Amino acid sequence: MSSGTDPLHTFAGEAADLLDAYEAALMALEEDPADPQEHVASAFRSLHTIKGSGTMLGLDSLASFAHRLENYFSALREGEVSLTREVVSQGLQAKDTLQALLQATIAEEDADLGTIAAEGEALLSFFEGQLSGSRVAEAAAGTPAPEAAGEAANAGNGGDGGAAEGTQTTYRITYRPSRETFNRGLRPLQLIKELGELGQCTPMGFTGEIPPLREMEPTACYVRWIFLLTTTASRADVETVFIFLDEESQLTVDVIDSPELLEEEHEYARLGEILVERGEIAPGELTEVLSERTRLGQLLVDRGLVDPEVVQSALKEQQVVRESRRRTIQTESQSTIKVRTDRLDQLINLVGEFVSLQAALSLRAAISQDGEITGLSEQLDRLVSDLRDLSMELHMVPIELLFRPFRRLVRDTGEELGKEVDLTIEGAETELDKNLVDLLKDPLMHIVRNAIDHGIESAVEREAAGKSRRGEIRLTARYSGTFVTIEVADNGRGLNEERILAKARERGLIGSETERLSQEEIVSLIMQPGFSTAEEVSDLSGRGVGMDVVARNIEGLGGAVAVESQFGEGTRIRIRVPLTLAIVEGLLCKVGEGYYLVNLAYIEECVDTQSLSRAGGETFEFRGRVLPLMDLRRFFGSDSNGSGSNGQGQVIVVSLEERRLGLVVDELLENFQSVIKPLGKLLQNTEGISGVVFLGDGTPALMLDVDSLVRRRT
Amino acid sequence: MTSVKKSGKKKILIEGELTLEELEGVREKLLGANLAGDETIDLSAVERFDLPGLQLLYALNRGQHRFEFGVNGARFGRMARFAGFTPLPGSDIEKESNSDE
Repeated sequence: MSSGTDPLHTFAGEAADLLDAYEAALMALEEDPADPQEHVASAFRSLHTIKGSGTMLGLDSLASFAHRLENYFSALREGEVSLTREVVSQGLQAKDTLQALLQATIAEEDADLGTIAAEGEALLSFFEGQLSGSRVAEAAAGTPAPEAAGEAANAGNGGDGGAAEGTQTTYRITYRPSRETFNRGLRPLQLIKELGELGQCTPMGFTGEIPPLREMEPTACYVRWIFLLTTTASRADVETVFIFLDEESQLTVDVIDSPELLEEEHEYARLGEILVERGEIAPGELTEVLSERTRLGQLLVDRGLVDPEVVQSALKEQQVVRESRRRTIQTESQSTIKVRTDRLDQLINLVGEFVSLQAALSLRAAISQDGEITGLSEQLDRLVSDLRDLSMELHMVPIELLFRPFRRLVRDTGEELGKEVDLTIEGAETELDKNLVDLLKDPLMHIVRNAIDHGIESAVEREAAGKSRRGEIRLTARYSGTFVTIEVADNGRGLNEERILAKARERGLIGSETERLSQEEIVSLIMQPGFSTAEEVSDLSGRGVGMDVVARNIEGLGGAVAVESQFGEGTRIRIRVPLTLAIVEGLLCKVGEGYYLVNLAYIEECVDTQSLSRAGGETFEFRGRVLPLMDLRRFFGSDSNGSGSNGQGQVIVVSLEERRLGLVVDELLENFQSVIKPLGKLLQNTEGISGVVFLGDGTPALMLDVDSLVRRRT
Repeated sequence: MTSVKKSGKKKILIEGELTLEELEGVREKLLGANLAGDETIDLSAVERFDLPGLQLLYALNRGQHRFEFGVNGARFGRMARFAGFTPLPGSDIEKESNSDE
């Protein structure tokens, strides 16, 4: 079996998501303690599901840890214990332990599992210490206590709405007709028929109370029923079926399964729990019988506590609900499936190759001037374009995935440094290529750690500076055309330009003539290789990776980093990355004998050099502004054909944020989509080039690094 | 009109209707037959029956009686299943394709 369908790996993925949700719930609890119910329920559900699925897969250490932790959250949900900051801290550590247990389980490191579980005992002791002694004993034994079963019964009875429109609910209808039912003309079989019209009805009739012939009153009703009805009908609709019952008849309608309950509990109740819930046996009787190691049903019958048909009906109920849940899960899994990211990457790569091939075919078709081939190529082009868009969409994820761990990071780092820091997140719904999200994690983490470590002042310092005690970090994301801009802003002490200049001089990064450097250029020096202003390397941000590495990594993704800072007020670091890494749409142009591709995302306009109004030197006038020109023929040393910088050509006006530049090329060809390939060793350090694409006939076209060209010329 | 007859030494034949209205009489006749508790109850001649009638058979089933359903096996079995009861031994057997219950 491949790992793609391996239940353990599927579980690992789901458990990781559940742990994230658990952590998010804890963070939300701390941030919004006034309205805890939703977050407590969310944390509980996550643990409960991990426990349930872990048990099914035989992951005992993980399931047991989740189970014992879940007990605390169950008590928290019931208001038996109260929430403190320490509980949140310990709860977050418990998440780390669960994560470690999960990883050790996947890696099949039994020794690690034992160590982690042993270390986790201290955490569990903390939580269990918060609970009363009796609950602790039950939790450790892992046996549902009679009270717990009672709670389950209440949960079944809870709520009055029953099924929401369109959703399936399973009801347990307990119907004990009065002795006079038959004589009063009531027809139970008709009721069964009507229930059957509402949905999937499983009647379970009990004949055990029918006396022997000599003792019976032949027209009295001695039978009773439990019906399991899976339906979209509401509880009120179900009860309407029984509207004509006489007063002596008894009827209860309980919800025993619904989408909400399924979310909490994938496995349905055990036999003993069902019987207690139905009132067939007392909780104490269950506990007593459970202490014997024989099949429960047999024991209960042997002791005369219940008839065999009662046991059979409880088993039937278990089967009906489990079957219903299996169908629900199957239906859900048909509407959404999980796909491994490497498979998705593979798909994107193939689509990228397809796009390149189609672009090549399109070129060939144009050259061939064959109407039929051109028509086919155009049809294929539309299909490829749809396929590209769809596959790109599959690869986009909300940036929330990137931002979510920062709540914990900011909290823990602030606590470690004794600083009070709040994190504000904006634009978490912005979508970005999944690969970019993965690649941005480390750089962003470094920036945020830096901001807390070096940017945000201590509460005392802040108060002395007339600021609020609590510092703030804002993490925001927004679309900028085909780019996404991510900002990390803090309201800390800001960058000290004097110290930056001194350090830059000391490191030989700049000469003595610094009067010409703008404020932006000075603060940008922190991104120069080898620059560091930290007086001492701290455990947090000073990990040997500076802002220069961050900047280089972002540039490697086709993005850019900009720094703004006001001394005493704060720092803002802006990261700009393309929406996707996979396929780039560019304008193919010719410079000398070489082909070049300019990312369309940067292009504002193209103009003929003959209509250009030169503004003196290497500049030109464009829409009322004087813009710098860069003649690529000269830049790449390809003006041997005589056109030179004064020859005819085209100007591609590109922009990067507020900066614009005119790129002079010989000829504009056409739009071209392609997968960008990395440059070989010979070219990888060539300035102004970031990659290569291959045209239909295999001719390479170099991808212009517009970002570096704009920075260089402006 | 329902009749209950001894049909042989160990056999009781019920004929006619096994419905609510007739049950009192059926019970009396059965008790009057001084059943030993191990007779075979022949239900092959029952023309109509209802849920109270079925209930009476379950009462009989508490003894050691055997049931013979004849062509009625499927009809009794079908009603028992519809009501969610465990069918009586010997019922639930299709002996005639045109059973109508």
